[in-house]
Amino acid sequence: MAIEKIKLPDGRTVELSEWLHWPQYSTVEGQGGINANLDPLGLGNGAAINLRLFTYVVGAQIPQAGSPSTGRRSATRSDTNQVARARINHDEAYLAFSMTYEMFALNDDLPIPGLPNNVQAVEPIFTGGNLRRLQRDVLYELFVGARINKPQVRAPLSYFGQGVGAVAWGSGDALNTGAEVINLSYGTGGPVSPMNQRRWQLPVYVHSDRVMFARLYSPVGQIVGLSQDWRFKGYMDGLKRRPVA
Amino acid sequence: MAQLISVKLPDGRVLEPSDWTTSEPLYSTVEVGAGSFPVLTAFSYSYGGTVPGSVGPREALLSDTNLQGEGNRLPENEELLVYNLSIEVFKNGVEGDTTAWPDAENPDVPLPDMLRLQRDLLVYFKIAYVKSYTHSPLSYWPAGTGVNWINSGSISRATNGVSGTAVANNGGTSPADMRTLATPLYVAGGESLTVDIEAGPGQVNGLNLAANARMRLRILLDGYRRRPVA
Repeated sequence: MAIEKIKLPDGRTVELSEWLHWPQYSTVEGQGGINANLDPLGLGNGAAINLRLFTYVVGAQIPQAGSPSTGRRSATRSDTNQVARARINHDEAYLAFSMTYEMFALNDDLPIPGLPNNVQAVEPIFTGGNLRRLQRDVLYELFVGARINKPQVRAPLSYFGQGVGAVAWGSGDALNTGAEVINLSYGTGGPVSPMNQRRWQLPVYVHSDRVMFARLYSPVGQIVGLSQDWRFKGYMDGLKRRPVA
Repeated sequence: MAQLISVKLPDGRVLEPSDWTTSEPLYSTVEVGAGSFPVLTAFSYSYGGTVPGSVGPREALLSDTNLQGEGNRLPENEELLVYNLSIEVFKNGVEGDTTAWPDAENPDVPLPDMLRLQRDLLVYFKIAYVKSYTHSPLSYWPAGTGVNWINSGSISRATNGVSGTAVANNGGTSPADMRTLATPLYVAGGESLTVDIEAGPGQVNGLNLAANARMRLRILLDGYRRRPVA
């Protein structure tokens, strides 16, 4: 039998728990390249974004903006480690010190008009230009509490440094696959490092069983020039309390 | 016997001398191929055992692991206080589809494959086997090792010199880029200790590797390590 409580001789009860460095993560996806055939630059637009993270568990549908080319799909453990929908579980609590993210493309970048065999990136590489467009137009937010509209965290995506991801180096020569040339573009939200995650001086506490979710939101609507379908894996980084049992 | 294992004090107490080091991380290796694979467990074997997921499988060298004993647990006469978990990635072998991306020379990892590994692989650090003390993607645990490249029109021998390439690292290359645990993890001597590598979708989707090629993941546990003085 698990030890959950210890009753002291003076009558007080101590509930055993542990605090762990434990990131919570959740994934959302969206469509890019809408009406690219009408764009002289061949980029098109990204679908308007208003997506909630941490609102589903493994097996549920991943929230999507527009219709990404990979279609609807069910979440795996690589998409989220949430164990309860849109809340912290009743026997857990969370102390968030930071938020970060990583980006993956779901399709290749669109060819440059007049150069049908030239692209800037192949999936899952997300171009630096597309990331910059998200930084320009998208807000990343954290809400805590049922029917609470005041965000605990709200800032442009550019405010959040990328603490997870791949650091890459090009050889300097063209990338020739035979069928096409990749004029590589790859970008990250600052230098990829845990040191690049902005740490809050005042952490955000999420009480046990408290409603919480993050939101990715583009107030402008469609994102002009976003040319790839995308996957955003958002992290809430900090300490999680859980029972020792 | 020349080894100093224990000292009995006049009052009857027994001291076991040992030293703590911060200059010898505990490490172990697993290898990931294309297609579906079961959970791969690092620290499940010691020097001379077989590397999980490897072709053959191959025998573990000291460059694969420095764990002693039968594996799956820390030796009785050691203790570990883990402040950092970091994971290096090396490619061993060639691409499956050479038209998808100009291959890099071994052991460098092409950028698309590194992103696929980071996207799909999960890391579970288990102590006493009953609980996971981490559950997060590979990308959350930067290597803190690697090469900072400077290239100028460099071409890849793996493409027979007809193309350049782009390679990637699991995060930054400096110790400052490693993730430091806010709450260190303690492993007592004799306690069960493993790091499981799993792909959420069952495989690393799209991993561009030939049948006998592998991505080698070397997992390092860094922090304070107690060893016997003997």
